[in-house]
This record gives sequence, C-alpha cells and structure tokens, in this order.
Amino acid sequence: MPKTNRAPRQQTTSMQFNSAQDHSASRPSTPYNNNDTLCRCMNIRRAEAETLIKRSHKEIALNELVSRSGAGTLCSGCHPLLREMLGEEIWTDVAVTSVDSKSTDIKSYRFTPTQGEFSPAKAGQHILVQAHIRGKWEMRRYTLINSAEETRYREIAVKIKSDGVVSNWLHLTDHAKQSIRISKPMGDTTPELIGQSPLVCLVAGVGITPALSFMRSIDDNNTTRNFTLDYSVNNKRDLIYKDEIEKIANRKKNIKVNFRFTKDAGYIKKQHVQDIVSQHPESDFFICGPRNYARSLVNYLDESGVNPDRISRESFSSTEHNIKPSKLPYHLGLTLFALFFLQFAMNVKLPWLEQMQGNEPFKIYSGLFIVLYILSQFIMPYNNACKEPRLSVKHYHRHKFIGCLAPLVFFFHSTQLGTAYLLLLSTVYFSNFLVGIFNHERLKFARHRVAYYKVWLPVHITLSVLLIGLVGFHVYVVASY
Amino acid sequence: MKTLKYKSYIIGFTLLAALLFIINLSVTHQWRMPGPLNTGHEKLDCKECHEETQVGFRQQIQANLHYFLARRKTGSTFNFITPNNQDCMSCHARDNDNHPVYRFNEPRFKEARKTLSPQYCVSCHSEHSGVRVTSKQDNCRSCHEDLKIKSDPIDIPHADLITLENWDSCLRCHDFHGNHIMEVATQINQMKSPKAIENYFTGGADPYSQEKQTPSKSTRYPDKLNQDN
Repeated sequence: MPKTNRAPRQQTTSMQFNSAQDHSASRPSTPYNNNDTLCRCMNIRRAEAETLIKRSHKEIALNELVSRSGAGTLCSGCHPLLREMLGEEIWTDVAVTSVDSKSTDIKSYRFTPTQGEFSPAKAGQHILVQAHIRGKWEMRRYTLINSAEETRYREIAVKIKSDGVVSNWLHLTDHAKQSIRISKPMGDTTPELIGQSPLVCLVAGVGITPALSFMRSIDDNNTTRNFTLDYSVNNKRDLIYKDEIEKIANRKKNIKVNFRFTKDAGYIKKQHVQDIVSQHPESDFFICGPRNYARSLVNYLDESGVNPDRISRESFSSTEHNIKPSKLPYHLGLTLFALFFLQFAMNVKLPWLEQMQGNEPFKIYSGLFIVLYILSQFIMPYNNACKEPRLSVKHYHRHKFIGCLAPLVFFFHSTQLGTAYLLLLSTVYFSNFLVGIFNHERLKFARHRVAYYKVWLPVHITLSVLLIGLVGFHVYVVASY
Repeated sequence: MKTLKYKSYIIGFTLLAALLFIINLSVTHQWRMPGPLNTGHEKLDCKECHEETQVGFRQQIQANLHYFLARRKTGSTFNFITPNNQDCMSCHARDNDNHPVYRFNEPRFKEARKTLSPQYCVSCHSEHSGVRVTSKQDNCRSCHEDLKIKSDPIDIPHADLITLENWDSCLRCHDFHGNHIMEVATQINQMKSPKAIENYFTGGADPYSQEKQTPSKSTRYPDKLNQDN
C-alpha cells in the first residue's frame, strides 16, 4: 500500500533528489515550463494552477486545488503533478540498468534508484515514468512487473506504439545520460495476494504485466494461494516471458497456466469462460487486456454467474485519486430547484413579486439580468478558447457557483414556466441547469468520469447554445409584439 | 476534448437553426405565442391585432435606446404596434355598453385607474391567456362601495350584500358589459352559481343568455375576408 510506505520513503527520495541534481548533467534547470499543459482533459496549464496556489492566502489542499481549478477532475492522471506543485516529493531519480527485448515490439526496463533502495510495492500496482523529452517533462503510467518483494529495482514492460511519446522514447533513445524519474507505486484496484479463494487472471497481449507481477510475487513469497493464468496472445512470437512463466508454473504446484493463441484458436469465447468458472468455483477474477477484450470478459463472467464483487479489472486508478468536489453548488442548486418547482406546483404567490412582475420595466430589466447572467456563464469557455491562462483559472469554480443559482434568477423574472416556445425555453434552461449540476464530478471513479464527460460535455454545450438562441428569440418576440 | 467542444458547438448551432426554422414556419405559429389565444379568438390571424409599424427600423431602435437611457419619455413600438383599445373595438364596439372603457378616463375614476386600469380592455381581458376574463370577480367594489338604491327590487337588499362584502355576488345576476338579452334575477335563490361564473371567466358556457344585443364581428377586416373568399 502506498500510504503506509509513504513516511520512510519520503525522506530517502528527497535526499536522492538533491544529490541527483549534482551529477545529472542533462537535467534542465527549471523542470517545467509555465505554459506546459498540466491537465490534458480540462486543458489547464501549469501557470493557472500556480496562480491559484499563489493567490490562496492559506495552504491549499489537493482536493481544493482540484475543485477550484478543474484540473484533475476527469481522469485524475495529473494528481501526482498537482501534489508535486503543492510541495510533495513524489519523484525518485532513476537510471535504466537493464533493457531486455521481449518481442518485436515489447521491451522490459529495469529502473534502479540513483541512491538508496525502493520500498516494496503491491503486486499489480503501477508507477508513473517521467522523462525529459524534447525540452518537456512527459509522463506516462506503466504497470510494475517485478515481484512485490523486490526493492533493488522496479521493472516495467513497454510496447512500442505509433503515438506513444514516452513508450517510443524509451524504445528508441539511449538512456544513459537522460533524466528519468519514477513515482511511488500506486493503484489499489488489484486483488490482494493473500487470500483463501483461488485467483484467476484472464489476460491478453501486453496485459500480462500485472499477472506476471502476481506470479513472481507468489514465487518469491511461497504463497499457497491457487493461481490460474489464462493468457491470450495473437501468436507464439507475441508471447512474452514464456520461459519464465513456464518455469514458475513447473516449480509451483498452485500455479496453472494456459496459453491461448488467438490466430489459430480464435478469441476466448463465452463457453471457455464458463468452463473456467466451473473449474474454479468461488474464485476471484482479475482481467487485464485491450479494452474490447476486458469488456467482453467482464460480460462473460457476469453471464456465467460470477459475483461482480469478485471481478476486478486493471485500471490506472485508485481510491487515492478519487476527487471530493465542493458539494455546495450541488446542494444549493438542487434546493433552489426544488423550491422553485414547489412554488410552481403549489401555486404559491408572493403578492409583491407578482405585482412587480406585472410591471413592464421590471420585466425588461429582470430579463436583461437573465441575459447577462447566461452570457456570464460563457466567460469560462471563452477564456478557455482564448488560451489566456491567467484569466481562466478562477472561472471553473465561478461557473459552477453561478450556475447553481439558475432557479433563483429565473424566479425573479418569472414564477411560471410559460407555454408554447416559452415552455421550450424554460425546459432548455432548467435541463441545462440540471445537466450542469450533475457533472462528471459527481462520479466516483475516474474511468466512469471520463466516459461520462464525453457525453455530458456535448449535451451541456448544445443546451447552452439552444438556450442563448431561444433567449434571443424571446427578446425579439417581446420587443416586437 | 477540444475537438469534442467544437463539435458540440456545431451540433448546438445546427439544432438551434433547425429549431428556429421550425418555430418560424406558418403551421407552427401557435408556438410563437406567449400563450394560447383567448376564448373566441382561437381562429384569429396574428395580423388581426398585430400591425406592422410604418416607422424605419433604425428609428425604432434609436427611440427605444433613448427611452432606456431616460432621454425620451415613452418607448417606441418595435416591429409591430402594441395592440390597443381601438384594435379590440374594431370587432367589439357596441352601443349601450354598461361599462365602456372610455368612461373610465373620467376624473372620478382616478382611484380605479390606479388599482385596476379599467380604461384598457386588456386589463381584464389579457390576451394569450387562453381564457375569457383575466380579472377577479370582486372588482365591482372599486367603484360601487357606496351604492344606494331607492326602491331595491331584490329580496335581500343590495345594501346588505355590500355590508356583508359579498362582492362575488354582483356578477351572479349582472353581466358587466350588459350585452346579454336576459331577465335580471330579483331573488337571491335565482342567482347563477359562483362556479358557473368562474367557468364563464375561464372560457366555458355562457350562464347569462345565448342572445346578444350586438354580436362581435368575426374579423376586423370583413372586406378582406370577402376578397379572400
């Protein structure tokens, strides 16, 4: 567990960091540029978060930084960078001590700390690898494949990819004089090694990495837990760590291995999964592989009657990366919304407001206020599009807070929803408000947030555009007739 | 995410254009109204009441802008002239109206003008409400609180009803404009039920009588109607 190991390791890493700076000739004097993208998902630059930290009077916590800037609210991949900005030591300088070609496109790398030793990791955890590539710090996640007990080095297997910046760099560069740093191990979605029930790993392609870590750990620890590996690869040439896997399987009676060559035998089918489930009742299942593979395997297991609690998938996330957004806009928004509809349904009338709303100038000015209110919500996307980092930093927070006041603003202009196009206008207004309230931050898991955001964002933007258009039409109709 | 945003804006604007196009079709003219037309007006064309202005577009904007900047005392109409009493009268003008709107411009109705604005048709018959009458049933009190009748024909005198502040009872015997050909009840138990009056206000059946002294015209442009036919 990364949390329990934090205290002693922090001390050693900070020492390493200082000493590493002396003998690493290629290390840039300032590691990051202000204009570097900090959060790719939300398109937030380093300078924006830095401005926020500087402007904050008191010490700012990670959660607050996330909630206020919007950075790291989606995939949470930039949380280590945010923590680093908040003064936490998260990197260990390492050197590549061994590179081993495993297949035509997969190589394994061993990282040794420039000073001291690593602390043990949990089998199946991942690390961040940061390398200084073409003047920029690039960062990617890789699953550890070394045994959990290993403290001398950390090992990863990397597949070359057409668009993989760090993967390609690792494959094609001479690392001798390059700056590479790795993070502490993270991720707690992998199953515990110590358990009574058998563990079945269903993996495909380079997805073997966490399973390899399990096997090596079982081998090192002499764990008695029954372990079954079902390893799908295209053909024999793609099979990596074949010898080692077979050697461990021969040595340990509790480890069983099945290779599946999909080029000849075809992909794993529902029938195969059902057979595995019937052979290993009451087992825990762990899946790692390409997205389609993992998705269909989860379905097959589900259809075979496996309890979903017993199924885990490799994902680069952990409870550590869950965000706790500020709940005020959500609760305030919902309360105002409920109050508005309560007065609408119960036909509660405030005489003074009714009288004011019947007044022509009041209608115009309250309407003008709503127009300005809606337009002000476009400041955030406008600034985002403008690429003006210092301007947009505070607007994510403001956008949420201002948005949650929508029912109140509406109430002062009209207590009714209207009919015909006005009903359409009110529906779009309140739908967009609700869509805004139920944003990606409401979801617990990063994986779900990313998927949700891809649907949520087009809906929110489309409704906003429709709203502006319908408001324009309303203004035209009111002015005309 | 960036392309996703741009795509979303494109989808939004396309949908908006489609929506505005649909709303502006002649078959969907009812969508453009702030509410359904009042009882009896269902088949009226927009242009029966909304006439286009003859003033230039630039002048209209200028006048309204000046009005907002308090450099002009009144605003100007924009695009269409705001319908007024005359527009209503072109179909509903009749002799011997008990409460003609122009009467309320007299100085003695100063107080009533403040509270009810009875000098305008739309004060009680607000259009696009989907009903017949939009005012309350007890509006009579604004002017008739000191009513004195020498020989009261009804079994419970008007004075008693006024003392009891039973203002809802007025319209249960009398119609406001007096356009119905009917016998006015002389006994309290012959009164119309409050529900019948409320029903009439919201567009239901006429409780007074089916015969009118001066029926409304079906259009203010009868000549045009004939030409079209």
